[in-house]
Amino acid sequence: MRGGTQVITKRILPWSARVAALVSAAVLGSALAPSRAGAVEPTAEWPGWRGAGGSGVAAGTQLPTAWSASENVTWKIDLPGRGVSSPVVAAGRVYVTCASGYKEKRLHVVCLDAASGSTRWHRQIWATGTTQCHPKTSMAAPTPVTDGGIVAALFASWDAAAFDADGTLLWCRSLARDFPALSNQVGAAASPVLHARIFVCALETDAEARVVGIDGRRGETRWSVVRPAGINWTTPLIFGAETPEPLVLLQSSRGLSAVTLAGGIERWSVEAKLDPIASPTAGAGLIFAPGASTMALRPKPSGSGASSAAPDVVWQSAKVRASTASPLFYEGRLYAVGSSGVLTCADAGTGDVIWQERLKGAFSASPVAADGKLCFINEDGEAAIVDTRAEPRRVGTGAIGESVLASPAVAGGGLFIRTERRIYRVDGKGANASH
Amino acid sequence: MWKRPGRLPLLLALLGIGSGCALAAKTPRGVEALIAQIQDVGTGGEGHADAAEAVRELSAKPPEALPEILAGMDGQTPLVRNWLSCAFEAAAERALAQGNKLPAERLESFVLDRQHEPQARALAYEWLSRVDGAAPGRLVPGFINDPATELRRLAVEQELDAAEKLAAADAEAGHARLRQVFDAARDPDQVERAAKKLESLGDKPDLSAHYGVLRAWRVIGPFDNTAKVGFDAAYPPEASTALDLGAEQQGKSGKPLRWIEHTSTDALGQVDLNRLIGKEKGVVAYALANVESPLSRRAQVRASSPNAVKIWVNGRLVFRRDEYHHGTEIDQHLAPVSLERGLNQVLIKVCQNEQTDDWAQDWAFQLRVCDDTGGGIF
Repeated sequence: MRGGTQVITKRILPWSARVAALVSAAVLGSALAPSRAGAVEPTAEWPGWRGAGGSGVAAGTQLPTAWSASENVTWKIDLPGRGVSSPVVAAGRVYVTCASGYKEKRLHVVCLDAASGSTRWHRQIWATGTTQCHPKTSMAAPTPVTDGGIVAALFASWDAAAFDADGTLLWCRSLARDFPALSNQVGAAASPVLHARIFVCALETDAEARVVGIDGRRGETRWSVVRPAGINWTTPLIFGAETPEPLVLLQSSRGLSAVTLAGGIERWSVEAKLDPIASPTAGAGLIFAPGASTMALRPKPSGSGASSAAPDVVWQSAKVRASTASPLFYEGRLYAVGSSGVLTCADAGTGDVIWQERLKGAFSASPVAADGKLCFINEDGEAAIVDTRAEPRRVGTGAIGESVLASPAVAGGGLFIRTERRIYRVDGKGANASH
Repeated sequence: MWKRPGRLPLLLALLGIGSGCALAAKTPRGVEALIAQIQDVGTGGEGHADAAEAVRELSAKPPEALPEILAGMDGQTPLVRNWLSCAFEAAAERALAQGNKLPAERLESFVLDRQHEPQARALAYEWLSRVDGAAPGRLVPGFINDPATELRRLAVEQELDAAEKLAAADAEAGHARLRQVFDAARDPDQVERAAKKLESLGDKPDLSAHYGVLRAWRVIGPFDNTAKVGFDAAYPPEASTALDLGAEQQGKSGKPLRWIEHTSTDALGQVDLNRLIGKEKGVVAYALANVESPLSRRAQVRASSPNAVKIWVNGRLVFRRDEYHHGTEIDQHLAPVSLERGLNQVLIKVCQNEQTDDWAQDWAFQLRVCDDTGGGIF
């Protein structure tokens, strides 16, 4: 992943670049149908980091194609702290986290009205774990997650809390107290995921690494899985959401594993040198795991749900490279923007590059898609809107004049852009700032 | 303690009997009982469901209950304080939304009572300020030596602004005021701001004394940390109950080692082990310092290092962090400790790994002993 963004410099991540060779089985020879089989289907809501199922895709909504600091901004509000987490949107509410105070000891969860931007409620807790991090990131780096009924937030201090939609606390955990050896002084940022009431947190550091499944309503630990020691920022991905046994995909620099959502039982694991920052995505029954070479994997049918067979490697390509921003699967194609700003569009079924185009700037925010368009926002807050279905591809731009590190949210026709200390709602032409 | 409806009201409720429904309604619990329920939360989610119900009930209490909720934080763990903080804010928010007034006078009394938990007092101050715009002007100057560091920070910031402005017009008067604010400042960013301004006026503020930095150490090393085995290995300096500072120890690869005395010349007490012991990788060093306390007291050890560290006070392990080269800053590590009257021994173990990257070469530490606010105590 990471959470709302990827801000960790590659300098501190000393992996050699090549992915280990893996046996490749059935390589598809043609473009895939634009199905998202295996992945959670996109929705009109944006319930977590990169939307429904971490897809980065919004369904049934438009994507604005032009805005500035004063143009097409429906509202903007100042947040009570700073952060790089993404906003999430459900049931007409926007949830966002931030941190304030000396060394960001105060952690905030804020609920806004999606239409007006007015604050519906605001809660604070104090960090119980260390708050040291790289100045580019924040204790509010992981993106909160909601199912419409509850919103659950994780902070880089390893504090987690869940609230109902009206802001009543459901539970609050000090994971630093539960697992004292946890420590990521660069700044943890993997976002939690929430599916079928299980709140999954990846807590992966050098001295202690585990993934925890917490009852989203009651706060009790349902399961806890020890992971290979090592600092990691990737966000877990739900795969097979529609099956009797949904899986949680866990990517690290050492490979990709699948554990059951219900019990944290490992079903399969693939060793490979993958990215510890850019997170995997899925579509058309494939899993796309970014690394120096991006890998496409096809899990074997699970049958009884107890399969432990490793997935087939469908393709791997060094030409399809993500960097800090995670790759995006959309309508049968895979999009990845590399460290140099080159956007690559590849056939998701074969890995063949269809086109490449250089975008301006460096990207921490991961791209989002809706209505046949993609939105890439660079660290200077300048957006490029790319049409995936027609030429010319570059069909819009936007800039709000502030740095943007968080991945945006798309819901209800609005694009929600989070800067360090503000959140903006951008709509189609005609919207005007109301705050 | 009430947990669930008794059988009779439950049966009546199931039968849909009107009066039975009323009987089946939960008996309202008092604020004290609800707080006690929340104070029972444990690790791993233990007790959370019951505590959540208590939060829901507390959130619906009238505004008169707010100071009591805050007082429930006194002496509690950070986790319990967070639960109560959320209950307090939900109740306060609801009261204002319903057009009710917050008990401003009682909140102000709470803020001013330094016996209460700093976090609770800071929260009380914030909500008081929302309903009483004059509260900051009335209260903030009095926070200048407050044990609640968040409140103290507000006063220091205000006073720093005023002192700098005064110094621009009247150097002597500004200097005197800056001296006072330097003494009051605790957060390192404010301490440094005051110190720099004082230096610009020709003063030499003693940062080491202000912070309680330990500069005089006895150091020994290198012991072995190949493949990071050293973090968990108990070498003689930590294994011995009574350290023999004159004895020779066997270090990495059989190298004979002796304790060497070292006094850091750095204002913050930085000890560069690469310079002191030699630039080696996969190694461990220990540093020992004595702290004399005139009385038994509570204190904090605050340390920083880019390396993995363990810290003992009087032989008791008080802190451990097995992490390398992920950044360092003052007060990076913090451990509450108990000091005994007389001499207290502080031992730090600093482990260097074997990374070859140019940004992973530092092998160093810095340590101070201070009170709960971060002020030096000796």
